[in-house]
Amino acid sequence: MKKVYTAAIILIFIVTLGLLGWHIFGDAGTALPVIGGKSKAQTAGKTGVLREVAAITLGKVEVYNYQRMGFTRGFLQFSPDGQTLAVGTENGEILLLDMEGRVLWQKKLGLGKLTALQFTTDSQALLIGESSPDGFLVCLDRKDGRELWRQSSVGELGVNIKDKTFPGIVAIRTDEAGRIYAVGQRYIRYPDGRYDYRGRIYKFDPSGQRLGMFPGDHNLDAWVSWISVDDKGEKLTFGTANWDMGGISRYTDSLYCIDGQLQGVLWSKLLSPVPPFQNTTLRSGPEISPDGRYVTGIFSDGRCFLYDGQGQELWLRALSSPQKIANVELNAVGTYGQMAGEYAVFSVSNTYNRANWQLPTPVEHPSSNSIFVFDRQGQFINRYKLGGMIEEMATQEQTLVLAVGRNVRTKNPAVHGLYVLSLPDALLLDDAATAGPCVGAAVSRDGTYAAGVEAPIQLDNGEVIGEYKLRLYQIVR
Amino acid sequence: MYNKNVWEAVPGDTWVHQLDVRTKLAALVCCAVLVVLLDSPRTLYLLFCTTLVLHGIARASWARWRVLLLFVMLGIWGSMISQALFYGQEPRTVVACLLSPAVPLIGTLTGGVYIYREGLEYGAVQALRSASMLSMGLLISWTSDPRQLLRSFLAWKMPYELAFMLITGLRFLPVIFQETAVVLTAQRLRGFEPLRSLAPRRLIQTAFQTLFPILARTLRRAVTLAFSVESRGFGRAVHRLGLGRWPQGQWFGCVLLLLVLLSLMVLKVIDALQFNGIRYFPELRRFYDLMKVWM
Amino acid sequence: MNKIVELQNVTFTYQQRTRPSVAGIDLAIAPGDFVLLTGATGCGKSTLLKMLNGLIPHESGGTLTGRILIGGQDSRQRSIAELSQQVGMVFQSPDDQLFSTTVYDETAFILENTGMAPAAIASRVNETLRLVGLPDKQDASIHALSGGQKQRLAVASVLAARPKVLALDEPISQLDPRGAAELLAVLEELNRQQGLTIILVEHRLHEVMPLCRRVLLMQEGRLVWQGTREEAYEQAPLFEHYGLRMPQPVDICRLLGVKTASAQVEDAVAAVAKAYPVPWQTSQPRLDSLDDPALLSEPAIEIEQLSFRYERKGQQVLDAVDLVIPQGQFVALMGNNGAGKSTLLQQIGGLLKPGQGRIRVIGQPLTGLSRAVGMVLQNPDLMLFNHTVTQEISFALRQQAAGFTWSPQCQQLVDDLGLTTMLDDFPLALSRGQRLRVALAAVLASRPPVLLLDEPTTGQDIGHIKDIVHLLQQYTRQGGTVLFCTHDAEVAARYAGRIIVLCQGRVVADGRPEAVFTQEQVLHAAGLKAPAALKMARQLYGGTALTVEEVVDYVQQKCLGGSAG
Repeated sequence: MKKVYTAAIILIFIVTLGLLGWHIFGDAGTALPVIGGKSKAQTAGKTGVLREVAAITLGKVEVYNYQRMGFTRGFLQFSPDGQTLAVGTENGEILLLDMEGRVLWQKKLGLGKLTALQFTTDSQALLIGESSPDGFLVCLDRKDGRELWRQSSVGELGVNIKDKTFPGIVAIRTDEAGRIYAVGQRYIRYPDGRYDYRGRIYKFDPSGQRLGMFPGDHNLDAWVSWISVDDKGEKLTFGTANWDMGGISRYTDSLYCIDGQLQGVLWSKLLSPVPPFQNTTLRSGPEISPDGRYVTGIFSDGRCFLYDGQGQELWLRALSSPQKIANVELNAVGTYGQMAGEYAVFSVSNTYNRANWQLPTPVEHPSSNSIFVFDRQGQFINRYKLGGMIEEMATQEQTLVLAVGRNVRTKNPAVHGLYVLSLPDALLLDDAATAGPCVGAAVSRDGTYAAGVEAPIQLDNGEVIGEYKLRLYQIVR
Repeated sequence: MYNKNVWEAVPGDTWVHQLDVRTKLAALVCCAVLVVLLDSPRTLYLLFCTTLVLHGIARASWARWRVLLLFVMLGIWGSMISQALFYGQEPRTVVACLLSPAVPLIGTLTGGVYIYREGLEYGAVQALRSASMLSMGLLISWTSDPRQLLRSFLAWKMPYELAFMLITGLRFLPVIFQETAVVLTAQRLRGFEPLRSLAPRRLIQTAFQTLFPILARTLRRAVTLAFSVESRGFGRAVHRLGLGRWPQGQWFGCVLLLLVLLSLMVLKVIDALQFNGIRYFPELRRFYDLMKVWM
Repeated sequence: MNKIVELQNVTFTYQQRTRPSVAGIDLAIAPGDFVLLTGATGCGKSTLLKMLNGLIPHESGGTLTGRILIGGQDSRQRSIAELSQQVGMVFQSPDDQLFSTTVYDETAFILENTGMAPAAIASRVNETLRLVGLPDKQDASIHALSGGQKQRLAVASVLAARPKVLALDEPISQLDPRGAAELLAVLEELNRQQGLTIILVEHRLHEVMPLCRRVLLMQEGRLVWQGTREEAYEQAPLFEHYGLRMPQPVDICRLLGVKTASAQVEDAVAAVAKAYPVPWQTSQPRLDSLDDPALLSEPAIEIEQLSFRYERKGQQVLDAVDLVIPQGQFVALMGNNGAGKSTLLQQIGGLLKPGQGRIRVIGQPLTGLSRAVGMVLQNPDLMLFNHTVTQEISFALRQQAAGFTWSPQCQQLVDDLGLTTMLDDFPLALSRGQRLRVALAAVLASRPPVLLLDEPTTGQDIGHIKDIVHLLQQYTRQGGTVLFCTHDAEVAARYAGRIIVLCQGRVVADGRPEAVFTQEQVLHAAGLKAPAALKMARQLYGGTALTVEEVVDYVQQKCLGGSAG
C-alpha cells in the first residue's frame, strides 16, 4: 500500500513538475510540427489549397479583448531563398524554422521589444529592430542565430529612461546590393497630451557599417514608421502619420521620396485632409515598386494613389469615404497599399465611430474589411470583402495572403483566419480558420508557402479563444 | 510522514553528507537570497530542480522523497489555486469560469469566480520560491549534524539563544511529527475525529488540542537538551567553536558563490534602477538582456 | 574525609515558587563513592543533582543559599563549562539529551568544547566508547541505537572529559530490563575499575541499591536520612513509608527479622535458612495452565494466527500469534523492547491492520477503532489535550453524546484516583503520576469492556502503581478486561492473573505468573528476570511464591506455625 502511495505521489509530482516546466519553458517553439513534413501536410482550408505544415506555440501573451485598440502582434518573414521562415513574437523571441516547421534556432531579445524583422537580400542574415533604451538594429547569422553586429539609434533619437520613451528601429528594408535601410523612431507624449516625434532613416552596408542618415544633421520631426526602397537602392519612400501637428515644423508633408544616398528629398506630397478628418496620415506605406517607377499607398482617410517615380500623380481613388448614418459619423481606415507585379492592392480596416472608435455604429462601412485591386492605370479590377480586420497583408505576384482578425463591430470569431486570394482577380482560393484572430501574415517569394500568427482573444463573455501560435501552410494550387 | 526516521539527520557517505556544514549553510543562505532576488520562473524552476538533484545525490530514502514531494506539491498546488482564484492585479486573463456572474444570488454576490492565468503563474513562482527553500532546508537538516550546525551558526555570530532555538527545533522536528501522530491516535481512540468537519472553528480547536501536549513535551525536551549541552561545556557564556578546518576547496567554492551572489545582487539593483527609470547603463546592455530572461 | 562534593546548608528556591525545592542540605561525598540519591517523585533529588555541575544556579535562576563545593571549589565561582570537567551529568531520557548524528560526534562533543586536538579526541573517544561497551559503534547513527545503548552513549558523552563525578538522573527509568542491566553494569565497572564517583538519582531501589555504597533519602527538599547501603536495608520501613521499593530479598529478611547486608538472592536465602529451618515444599502448585477457560467468562479478545510487519520486506513483528483472553482477566504482556508488545496492543486497539490472521473483540471482528477498546498510551502526556481535568475525563463521553457534562461514574473515578482536588487544573501542568492517572480516568470514563495499557508503570513510584492497580482490579472485578505491557516483573507477578511473554513477535510463554516466571530459559531468551521473591522461594523451599508476603507467610507458617510476625 505504501508503495502504491509513494508511486502515486511521485507520479503526481512528476506530472506537476512537468506541467510547470512545460508552462515555464514553453515560451515558443516547444510544440513539434503537427505533421512529419510537407509531404504529409494536412488540408487546412476548405478547398485544399492551404495545407498545414506546422503549428507552433509562440508562448504566452497578455490576452486582449475587443475594447483594446492595439492588438497582439507577430512578425513573420520568409527568407528570399525560400528556405526558412523567421518569426518574431510579442515576448521578444525570435525563431527560425525550416519549411517543414522544424525550429532551427530560437533566441530571446532580452530587454528590448521587437519592432521589426527582415531578412537580408542574400538570406544569410536576419535583421531585427527593437525598441529599448538603445534602439538597436541587430543582425543575426541565419545559421545559428549568432549576433553579427548591432547598431544603436539612441545617439540620434535620444532616450528618456524615466518616461520610458525609447528609440526603436521600426522598419527595415534591403536593396538588391544588400544594403540595409532602417527607420528609427521615438515619440514622446507629454503630460499635456502633446506629442513630439523623432525619426531617422539609416543606411548600412551588409557588414553593419553606417553609410548614411537622413536627415544628416537633425531628426525628422514627424511620425515615420514605414520605409520602402527600390531594388537598386536609388529611391526611398516613407510616409508620415502626424496626428498631432503641433510640434511639427519641417516634415509636414504626407509622403516623401528621398535619394538612395540619403542626401535629400527628391519629391514630397502634401495632401489636404478630407473633411471631417483633420490630417492626412500614411502609416503602412507608401510602397515603391522594385524598379522604382511607381509609388503606391493608401491614406488612413481611405484615399489610395499611384504616383510615378518622379512624384507625378497617376491616379487617386477614394475607397472609403467617411459616412454619416443615423447621425453617427463612421469611417473605415485605409491600411496597406502594395504593388503586386502589375497591380496595386489596398486594404481597408474595420468600421469605426468617428466620435470614439469603441462606440457602436449603426452599420458597417460598406468598404470596411475589404481588399481592392487596381491596375496601373487605375482601373478597378476587383474587390473582396472579408469578415474581419485585415491585420497584415502579404503579396506575391499571383497571390495575396491576408491575416484576418477582429471585427470590432460584429465580434464574430468565425471570420478569423489566414486567407489566400489570387491576383489580380482577388478571388478567394482558400482560408484556414483560426480560433483566435490572425494577426500576422507572410507569403514566400515563390508563392508556395504562407504563414500566419494566431493570437488569443477574450470574448465579451469572458471566454478566451485561440492561442498565440504560428501556423505554416503549404499553398497547393 | 509521522515516522521519526524520516525526519532525523543520519550520517551518510554521499557527497552531500560529506560537505562541511558551513558549506551547506552557505548554500542555504545563497538559496534564500536567490529566491528573493529572482523573479524569473525559469531560473526559480531550475533552482528548485537543483535542490531535488541534491536530494538525489544524498540518496534520500523513499520515505523522505514522499514527505518532500508531498509538502512541495501541497505548496505548489495550494499557492497556484489560491492565486488563480484571488489574483487581483491587472492584466489578468480568465482561463476558466467556475461560477458565472449570471448565477442568481451567489454569482451576483461574488461577481463570478474565475481562474486567472496570471494568478496561476504568480502562484507557481511563489510556490517555487518556497519549495526551493523547503527542499534545501530539509536537505540540510537530513544530512547535517545538528551540533555542527549550531557551531556554524555561532561562528557566524548568530545570537546563541536564536541558534540554539533553531537547532532545538531541528533536533526535535522528527519527534514532533512522531508525537503528532500519537496525539492524533489518542484523539481517535477517544472517539474524536479531528478532520470530521473542515469548519475553521473546529480545525482551530483540533490544532490547539493537538498542539498542547506536543508543545508541553517539546518544552520539557528542549530544557533537557539545553541542560545536556550546557553540562558538556557548551553554552551561552562559553562556546568553543572547534569547527575544524573548512576544506579549502569548499571554502573557495563558497566565496565564489558569495561573489556570484553579490554580483547578482548588484545586477539586480542595476536592473531595478533601469526598470524604474532612474539610471540606465548602455554598456551593460547584455546583462540587462540576460536579466530580463533569467532574473 | 577527602571530599569531592560538599554541600553546606544548601537551600534553593525556584523563581516564582514560594517554598524551597531543596532546603538545608548538608552533604559530603568522598571520591570513588557510589551514592544513591532517592526519594518519592518531586522530593527535590533532581534539583539537588543539577547543583553539582552548576546548572543551578548558573542556568536556572532562583535563589541559592549555602555553599556547593566541587573538588573543593565553590560552584558559584566556576562556570558550567569548568564544572563539566569535574561532574558529568546524564539525564533521564536518552532521546532528549543526545545532540549529534553519530556516536563518535556525540562522544567527541565535550572534548571539542575543551579545545582538545582532533587526534587526541579520536583516541579519547575510542577509549571512552570501550569503557561503555560501544567500541564498534563509532560511526553508527545515534538513531540506530537501542535505548540502553543510547543511555550508555549519554554516559560516554560526559565520561570522555574524564570527570571525577558522574551524576545520573533516573537513567534507567525509560529502559527495558536488558538496557537497564547493561547500563548498570557499565556504571558498576566505572566505579570499580576507574574509581569514578557516581551519584545516581533513582527511585527504583530494588534495581540499583545492590550497586551503591551509600544511600541518601530526600523528602520535600530535605535530606531525611543518609547512611550506607547496609544501614539502609535496616531502615526499610522508612523507605517504604516514602513509597520506595526495597529489593525483595531485603524486605523478606526484614519481615522475617533476619539481618542481611546484601540484596542478593543467594545471600538472603543463606541468611533466612540460617535463622529458619525452612522445609522443602512437598505439594507443588499447578504450574501447567490457566484456569479452565470454560469456567471463565466469554472471551474478550480472540486472536487467531495474527502476523504483522511494518514494511513489506521488513522484519516480522508479530508472528502467528494465537491468544484468547476472557473477560475479567488482568493480563500482563512482557518482553524486551522490540518483542512486539506495543504492536500487539495497537492491533487490538484497531490502530494497525493485521497482515494475516484476525482479531475479535467481545465477539465482534475488529475492523478498525472500536468503542469496546480503551487504550492508554505509553506516554500519557500525549493523551492530554483539554484545558481542565474535568474536560479531559468527560471528553470521550462528550464525543459520544452532545451536551454531556459529568456523571456519577466520572466522579467515582476521580475520587478513586485521588484527582478530586484538581478537577479544574490544566492536566499537562500536573505531576507525572497525576498525569497518568488523569489519562487513565479519561479512558475508563467511557467504560470500554477492554482496556489496553502500554507500560503504565514506567516512571511511576510504587505508591502510584498501587493506586492504578487497585483501580484496574476493581475494573476487572466488574467484568472489564485489562491487558497491559510492562517491564516490571515484580508488578506483573504481584498483580497480573496471567502473563504473556513475547519474544521476536511470538508468544513464548503464557500462563499464571508462577508458571511463567519459573521457565528460566524462556525468561532468559526474552531478556526478562523473575521477581527476586520467586527466586528466593525456589531456592529456599522449592516454592513458587511470587511476592514478599507469600514467601514470608510460608516461612512463618512452616517454621513458626502461624503468622508470627
